[in-house]
Amino acid sequence: MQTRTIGKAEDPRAPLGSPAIAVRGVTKRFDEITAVEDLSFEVRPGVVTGFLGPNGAGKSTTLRILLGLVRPDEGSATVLGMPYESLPEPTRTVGAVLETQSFNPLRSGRNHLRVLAAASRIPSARVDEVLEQVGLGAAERRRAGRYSLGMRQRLGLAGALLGDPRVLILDEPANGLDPQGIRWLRDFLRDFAAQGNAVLVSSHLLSEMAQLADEVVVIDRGRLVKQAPLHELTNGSRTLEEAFFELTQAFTEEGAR
Amino acid sequence: MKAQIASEFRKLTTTRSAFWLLAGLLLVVGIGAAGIINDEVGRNATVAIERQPFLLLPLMLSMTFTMILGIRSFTDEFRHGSIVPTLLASPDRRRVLGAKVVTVGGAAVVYAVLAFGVALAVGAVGLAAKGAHVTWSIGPLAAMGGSLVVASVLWAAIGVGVGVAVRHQVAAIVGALLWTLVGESAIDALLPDVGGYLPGSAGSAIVGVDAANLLAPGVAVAVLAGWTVLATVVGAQLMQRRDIA
Repeated sequence: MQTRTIGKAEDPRAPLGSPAIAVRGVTKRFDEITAVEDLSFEVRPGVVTGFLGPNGAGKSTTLRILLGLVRPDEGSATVLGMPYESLPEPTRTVGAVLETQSFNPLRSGRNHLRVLAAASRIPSARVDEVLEQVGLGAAERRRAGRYSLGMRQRLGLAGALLGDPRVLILDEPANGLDPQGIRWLRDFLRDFAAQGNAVLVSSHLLSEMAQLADEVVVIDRGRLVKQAPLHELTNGSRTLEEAFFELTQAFTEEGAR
Repeated sequence: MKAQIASEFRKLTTTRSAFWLLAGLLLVVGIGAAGIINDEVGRNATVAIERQPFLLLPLMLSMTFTMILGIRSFTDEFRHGSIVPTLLASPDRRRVLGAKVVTVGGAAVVYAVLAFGVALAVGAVGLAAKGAHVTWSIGPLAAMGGSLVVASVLWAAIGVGVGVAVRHQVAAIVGALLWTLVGESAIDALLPDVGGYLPGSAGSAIVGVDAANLLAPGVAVAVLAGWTVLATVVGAQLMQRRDIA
């Protein structure tokens, strides 16, 4: 993979308003289960925000609410001040990857991206650019069903980058990537944020997150445990892992009382 | 909505699924028509091709195959998870549904015309081989072909609605086939007054199947169009409200 900036990214762009992402008082119940409860946090431009929590904490549900795929029962989730579905050209503002498999396995990687490009009125030349950028150029004409897990992640990322967005929302993007891929992704996201863009990235790889995030949002059982800059959490000496377990542990005991 | 239609058209043409479904339709129509050609036709008899029973086969099968095409336009996306990037690019889900209806409707025209053409070609060759003298009346044939196109397009759109409602590919296709093959006949047997208004019977009536209980073709078009509106509006409502979790 290459670490060059893409297309228009080098052009001076208007700074993003802050917060880039705002989740305010969001509650979502699925039948009897409360997946997210009165959750509020913000994502600022210019930094990478890590979204942490145990399995089933409600991370994916929150990201889906942010992207207009799931409707919250209460509260609001906005990107650049608007609900996702009200953004005039959403994929030119927000790029997102939610699952490793989100393509028809019989379609080639390149055609998958061409389908998405058509829906957002993005020229096919841009498809070749993002394929090159994520390092899938050599596999672009193969059926995506034959891709390895890491290649699937790269294809998802290529789809997110198609519209040259200002905000990236990624659910476990490092899953299945090889060490080079993880490093490429980290460099890319840090560089992307440094240009004044916003990144919200979930992961349960805490050591990876410690190297990637500037700010951390921790949730557990659908509720906010802590939002803080990374250095404040780790307090200079603790690892993110130690801080994470301490926080979720204290949260569990508090809940039990 | 032009962008969504362009995207849907690319979906349809960048896997072979729709081509295989079409190939299957043409194969079954061809074999079926060859098998049905009237054994009673004698040498030197004069035969009006538009009155031949083997033409009913493409008429019935084309509707079934375009319905499956319509069902798959959504169930394929739910099955493979591609519904997520589709909705991220086009958050207005009704627009996505509309684009699918337009696209599979267009494909249904191709399916219907080719199926009718294959049946006519196989039939004409088969009759000629028996030494029959085949006559062609363009007017009635064009009317048959036109009604086949209308019924196939409407059934494709109904399929889109069924696909959204059921979501599971196999369940949707098997359920829809059982409905048209068994369910409607059962209702027809129990409630003969109602039977003719069911979507499958209306489709048969449009393409000119001659049987008891069937509506006049013009009325049947209106009835099937009504079912189409119902299926797509209900589908759009479900799609709009549903969480993609």
